[in-house]
Amino acid sequence: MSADRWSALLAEVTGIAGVRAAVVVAAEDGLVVHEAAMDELPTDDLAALASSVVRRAGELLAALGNDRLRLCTLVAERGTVVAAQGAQGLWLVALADPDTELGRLRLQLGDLAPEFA
Amino acid sequence: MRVLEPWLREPLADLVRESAARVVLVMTASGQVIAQHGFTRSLDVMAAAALGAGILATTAELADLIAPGDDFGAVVHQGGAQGVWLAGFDTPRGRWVTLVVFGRESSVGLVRMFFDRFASGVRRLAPAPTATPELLAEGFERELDDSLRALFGTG
Amino acid sequence: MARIDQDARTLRATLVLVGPRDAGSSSLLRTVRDRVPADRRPGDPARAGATADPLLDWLPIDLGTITGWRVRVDCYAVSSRTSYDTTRRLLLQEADGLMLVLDSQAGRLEDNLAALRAVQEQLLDRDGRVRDLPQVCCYTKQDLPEELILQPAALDATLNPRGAPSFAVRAVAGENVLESLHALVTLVMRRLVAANGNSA
Repeated sequence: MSADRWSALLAEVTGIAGVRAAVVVAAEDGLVVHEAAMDELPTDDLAALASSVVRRAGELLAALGNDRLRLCTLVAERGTVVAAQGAQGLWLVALADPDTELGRLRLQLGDLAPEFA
Repeated sequence: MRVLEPWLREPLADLVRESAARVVLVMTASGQVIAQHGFTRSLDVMAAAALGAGILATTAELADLIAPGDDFGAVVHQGGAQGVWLAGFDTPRGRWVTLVVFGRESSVGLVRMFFDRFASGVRRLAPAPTATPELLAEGFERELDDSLRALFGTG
Repeated sequence: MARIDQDARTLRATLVLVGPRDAGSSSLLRTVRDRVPADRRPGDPARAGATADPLLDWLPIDLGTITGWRVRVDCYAVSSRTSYDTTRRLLLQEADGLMLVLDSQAGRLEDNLAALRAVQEQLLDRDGRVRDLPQVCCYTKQDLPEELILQPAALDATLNPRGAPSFAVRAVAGENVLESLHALVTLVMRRLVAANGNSA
């Protein structure tokens, strides 16, 4: 898939009101693969920490004998991070304001994440 | 964990804990060890310091060839079960190099992130060089000469 | 660069031995190592029984306490092979003093000159200036037959235009090895004293 195509897909995420960043992350390395973000956001840090969280969450689910982690949502007072599993070790991570339509964002990420491969 | 200067202990401990590093080595650009965590033999520390500093120096030469003026700040080597992060950074004490060995419980991204914080911490905490050091008192050269004659047996 | 710790009152300088291949840098360090007591070589890999490293020979020497300061020098000899240029350059950037180990044999004059040119190039700072380091010249193999070697005066004329202290070294007898190190240490420390604004 071309970089233009990736950018177009990420634009569908950042097009949701309140979404400040959409980042494709290589979970094993915690590195940004592709991103669409407002200038001042530390997307490198977001990628590193999000990948750490999804890996730990995945280990937790595996230890509980449950299914693989598909979607991870972290809700905080000043914002939300949603991470959806893509293909080949990639995750689609979005950072959103507290008043973002969370349900719509989760659906969108769940639909788009498998496209990144 | 061993540090040459006490103020370095806390930022180094933070780096080790937050990045889940298995081994950390901090050294000058020429490979003189300043602090280390995770090594069990001093010879390994010396060898790692010399090799790490050498790798960064080689990378800097490569950078000069292909991208003059650009600073290739970090080098990552990824193995099957472990990775090595090598990066230089400027401090009030000169150019330092940090080597981090990490396993699957960490990642390049995490190491990078907490290395940046470590470097910032070092720059913030490093004591400034003393302006007028009471360094070498009168008679230093005479005493030095006496000491060298005694040690070397030189006339 | 010399490391000066005001709180601990320690001073540690780096001396680097350079010269053409097989001029005798490692032999010189070996002689020093044999002559300096083990307790004055803290951390010396040879004390721990480590096998010789073809890349880098490192000899730390504790010079004792001088006017309340603990003084140490680290002597490094790097292999002259071009594949170790990077390591050599690295060390030279941190060096406080140089021991130019030059082969007295007449047939090796060009090798000596090439080695000196390489050192000059590796001492260039970011602004293209050559770092001015205290140095001594050690003309090794002066114990070879006279017809094979050049005398120190002739070697000085060609290899030592700066007029640095020079020594005719006869490694087999250990002659002038420690004398040359003594002189280099003195020059380095004198430079450090001057740089720190005090007079000894």
